[in-house]
Amino acid sequence: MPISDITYIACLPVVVLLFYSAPIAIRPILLLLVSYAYYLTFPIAYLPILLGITATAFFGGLVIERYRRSRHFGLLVGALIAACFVPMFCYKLIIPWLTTGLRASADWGLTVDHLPIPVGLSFYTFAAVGYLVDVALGVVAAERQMVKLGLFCGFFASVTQGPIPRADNLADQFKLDGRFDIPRVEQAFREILLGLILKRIFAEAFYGPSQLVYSNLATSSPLEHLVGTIYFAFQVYVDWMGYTLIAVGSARLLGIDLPQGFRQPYLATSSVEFWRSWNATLVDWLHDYVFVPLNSAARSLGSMASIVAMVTTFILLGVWHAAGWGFVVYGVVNGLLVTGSRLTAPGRDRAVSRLGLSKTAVRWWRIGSTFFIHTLVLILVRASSLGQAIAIYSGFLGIFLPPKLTSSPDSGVNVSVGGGFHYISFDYRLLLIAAVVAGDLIARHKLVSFSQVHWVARVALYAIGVAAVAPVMIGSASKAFLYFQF
Amino acid sequence: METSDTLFQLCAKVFDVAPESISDATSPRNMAKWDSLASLALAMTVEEVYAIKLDTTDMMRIRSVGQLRAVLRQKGVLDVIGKRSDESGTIEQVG
Repeated sequence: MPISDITYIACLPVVVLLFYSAPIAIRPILLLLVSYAYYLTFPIAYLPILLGITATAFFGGLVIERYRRSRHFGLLVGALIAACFVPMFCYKLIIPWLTTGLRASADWGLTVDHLPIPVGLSFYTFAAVGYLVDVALGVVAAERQMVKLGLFCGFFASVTQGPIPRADNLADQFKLDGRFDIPRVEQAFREILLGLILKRIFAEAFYGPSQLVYSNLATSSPLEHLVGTIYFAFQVYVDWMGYTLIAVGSARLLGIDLPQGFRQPYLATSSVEFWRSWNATLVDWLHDYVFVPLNSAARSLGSMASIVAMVTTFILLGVWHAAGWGFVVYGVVNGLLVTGSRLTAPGRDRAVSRLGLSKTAVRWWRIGSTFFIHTLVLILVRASSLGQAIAIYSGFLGIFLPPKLTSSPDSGVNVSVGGGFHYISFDYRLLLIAAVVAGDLIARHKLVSFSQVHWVARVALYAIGVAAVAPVMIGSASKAFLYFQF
Repeated sequence: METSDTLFQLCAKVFDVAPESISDATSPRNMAKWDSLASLALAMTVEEVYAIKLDTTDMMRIRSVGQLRAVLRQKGVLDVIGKRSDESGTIEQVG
């Protein structure tokens, strides 16, 4: 059951009531039972995997602390981390390999459709591995209460899609001794309502045209491929941000502060800024546990170390989506974009200064170009194979080059220019995109402080929000979250 | 911690920001200029100033200025307020 489902939203007040009625001492076990009950709304076979990884992290942390001075300490930590990754490795690589035949296809033969991956597997695996590494580094002490570690890995609001919790605030996060606090509850309500609006209205509106275009690549025009991809870019953003807001709001209701994963990524002025603000808990995890050790190990290469480490980290981020050459290329391109952006930033800034260009104009140019570049790169994720993505790109080139130079008859993708818009109509969705951008600008520049808005206006706004989202939630089941499969 | 803290000055110099904007809570998450290359530059500067070697686990521990301070203290090269233990030299002499 996705957390954007009406049943989840209906159960949430009951959980809050039970939580605040319960003595502080039993709140953790109550929340853990609720979390596992929630996880059981997915296939029952997934629960043993969550329990297994939680147990590995819990006992592994204690073992790491006990044998810190052992000669085989590194081996022990490595083995425990490997044990946590076994299910992910099996589900993402071994099972598809056995069922589809890795060598049979030019694109690894793998698409996410083939993978019955337990919901949220990579998110709680990353949480458990991060915890083990932090205990090994001595950054945190091993947790003595299994219930707390169970919540750390399997807390119902974040288990399926993040945000990925960090061990350095585990103890504070699950103190669970808070009192029912009205302003806090109102903030949580606001977050959940906004999350539902983004997920159930915005994301589902953007899903239509992008799905239509990508289902008809042979008969839609390159311009439609581009517009369909822009809709997809907004779909992914509001889908994930909506989910994250619902998770953060649900946790806040219980006095738990989960980190925010998104900080207006489509207002980023560079690839570096984009990746700092896009799904930050996942990117931070990769930075701390993959990039930093790689960067450190390759330090003798100087600046090249950062490039090698960055590209490798992004390749891992790419294949985290699914095994496929398109995802590898996605990782390489993003790694190069980030390092290129970082290395050229001083020169670009100097050039802007010398030319005396308007800072505002340059800023908006950078925002637009960063968004455009990352939307183009997203084709590697959305296309069903690397070959299809290349065919779509070559269709874009056809806007500037003669079709003969770009045609790709076997790709199933229309690369001929023209043909107008058959699948995309410019309708209310443009207003939704404008609303997303406006909302991000308001959030970025802190233009509205809800605490200063009169309560009557706040209630009116909430009523409008509920009136908008309630019919959608009652009328139809929530579409599965795009990133459940990861 | 005061902004005259030597470690803050060192970090400010590496990140090219005012020392006042540095605190023990400063981390890559809240300091835009603390990116991958700046991490390397910070490690190399710290190694040069304090004449130590930071290994991979040290680098992984350094997720904030406060944790950098803890690593340096663990290595016995930094006292509580962030000055070099031997009290010789200043950050300004470096770079």
